[in-house]
Amino acid sequence: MSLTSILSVEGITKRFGKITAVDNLSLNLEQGYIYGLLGPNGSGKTTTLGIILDMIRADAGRYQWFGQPLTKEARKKIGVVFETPQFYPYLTAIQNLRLIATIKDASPETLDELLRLVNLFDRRNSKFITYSLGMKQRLSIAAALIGDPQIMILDEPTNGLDPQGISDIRELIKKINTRGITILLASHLLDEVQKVCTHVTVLQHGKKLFDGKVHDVLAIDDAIEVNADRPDMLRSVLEENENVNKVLTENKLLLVVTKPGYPVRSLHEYLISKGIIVTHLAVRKRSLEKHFLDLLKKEEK
Amino acid sequence: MRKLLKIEWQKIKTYKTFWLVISLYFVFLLSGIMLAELIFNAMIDDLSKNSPFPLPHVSFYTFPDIWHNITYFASIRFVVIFPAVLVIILVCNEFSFKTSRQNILNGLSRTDFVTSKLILVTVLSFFILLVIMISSLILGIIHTDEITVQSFFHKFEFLGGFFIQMLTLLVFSLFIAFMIRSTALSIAVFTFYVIIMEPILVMILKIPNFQPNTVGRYFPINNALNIVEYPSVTGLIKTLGFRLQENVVFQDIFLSIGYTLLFCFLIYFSMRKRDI
Ligand SMILES: Nc1ncnc2c1ncn2[C@@H]1O[C@H](COP(=O)(O)OP(=O)(O)O)[C@@H](O)[C@H]1O
Ligand SMILES: [Mg+2]
Repeated sequence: MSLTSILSVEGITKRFGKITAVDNLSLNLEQGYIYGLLGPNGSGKTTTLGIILDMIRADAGRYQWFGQPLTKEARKKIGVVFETPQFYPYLTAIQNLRLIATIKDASPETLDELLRLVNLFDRRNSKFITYSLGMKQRLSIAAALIGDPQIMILDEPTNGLDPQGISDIRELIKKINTRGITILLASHLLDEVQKVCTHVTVLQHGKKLFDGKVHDVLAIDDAIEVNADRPDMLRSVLEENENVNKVLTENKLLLVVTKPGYPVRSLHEYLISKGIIVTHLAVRKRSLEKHFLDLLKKEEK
Repeated sequence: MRKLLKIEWQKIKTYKTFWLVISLYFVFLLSGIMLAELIFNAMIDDLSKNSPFPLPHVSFYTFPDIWHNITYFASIRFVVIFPAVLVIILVCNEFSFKTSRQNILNGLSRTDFVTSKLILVTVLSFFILLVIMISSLILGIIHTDEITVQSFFHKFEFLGGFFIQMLTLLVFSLFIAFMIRSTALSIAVFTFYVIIMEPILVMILKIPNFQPNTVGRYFPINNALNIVEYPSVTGLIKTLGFRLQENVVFQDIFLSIGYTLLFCFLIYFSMRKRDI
């Protein structure tokens, strides 16, 4: 275990009757990154979060926070934002936050600053029940930040929000991460994970299908479309290049998969040096989306 | 401890339902006792017509009977349901707003959460006791012609008995709320048990051999409510030669404390085991 380990999860499993909601899942979160837990609805994201927060008892497996079992002191360093905000509807925003500060033994002096951060300072004296969903969700984030947490966990925080609300929340998450707070974001939206996260774990039927850096996932299979005046020669020339992993034919184009980090420019220069005149050259980013869908399809078979 | 108290106070201090229900409770209990006195005296007037000697009017408010009477009216089944329902609302709210979960995620242990609610019902019982004491004091001073130390403190123990009785009832409602977690269902179950099921069971148990004291006497609510029995009017009792309750029976108190501890244990146990 590294010194900066925030959370380590080993082989957790949870069954609800016949359904295995989480199946032998392991995770490891290190400080400072933004982790995405990605999977379609019902894939076990919420159950996983429920287990690591000791709200749901797992049938098997272990987890440790900051290298230790979860104590109530450790909880004060974990900020949690759920899909549905959980506050006392008859209390005002500031009263709700003060209550949480009491629970976390945190000073109430930072509350105004947090309300400003989530852009609710002007509405701090309104009752929670009068808030829109977007405001409620931002209040949840403010609440999660009370007491300077080391990690913030968010479960589908943008569900049901309008586009402005969605983008506000995503910006906030990134901003919070720049304060050094590790983030774990559960989402069924690929695009969200792609835009926000540095790392991703893909879940399906409670099983981990894949995990890695979002950037790597994007880069693994980027293909370059190439065409040239002499297609017959093009193929053999490309295959001679040691930086080329694969050459596929697609209609009249060749699809080239290069080693990660090999610039398109270098490929172009290489072809010119071999006397080939390139008539078409384009990078085809295989989006995480396609990956995600592929992974799901593979699993389905 | 102080922290848990502070947390509960932050939850209720601006909660209008709380203040409304608790005020209704005091209104009902005070109007109950006044109404009872009026009806009682009307009945006495009626009886006096056929009586060879005039029957005196009674006052429920004279020392020392006031302590007994007011605590009796504060705990008849239909009145005591107010603070009990209030406790159910406060606890089930936590489950329906999911703030129980939020509290625990923010760093209250499950045990702390239960303890905070036990502190709440203890303080609430004290608060009710205090209001009752103050109102009794005022009513007693107004209505008693001659206050002696003896008349003042005689029956003072009913206040202590009442506290235990209220605490048992509120811990029982706490127990129902923690087990069921839904406000409507908890209120329904509590009301059904306290107002319908237990009284009927107690009655049925008495039928076979017309015993006044059967095992029904020891059912939790019945036992608790028996700590303070029928109201008493010393003057009238002397005139008619009735014998009514003069003391709190310690056996009832001990049994009530036993029930309270049992319910507390069950609440802690279930909170440790169940998902939140
Ligand atoms: N309390 C529960 N009782 C029974 N089944 C549940 C319960 N919670 C979740 N499930 C089931 O477990 C699976 C995973 O659910 P969940 O963790 O909520 O997925 P996600 O958050 O990824 O949408 C689903 O099939 C869901 O129906
Ligand atoms: Mg979910």
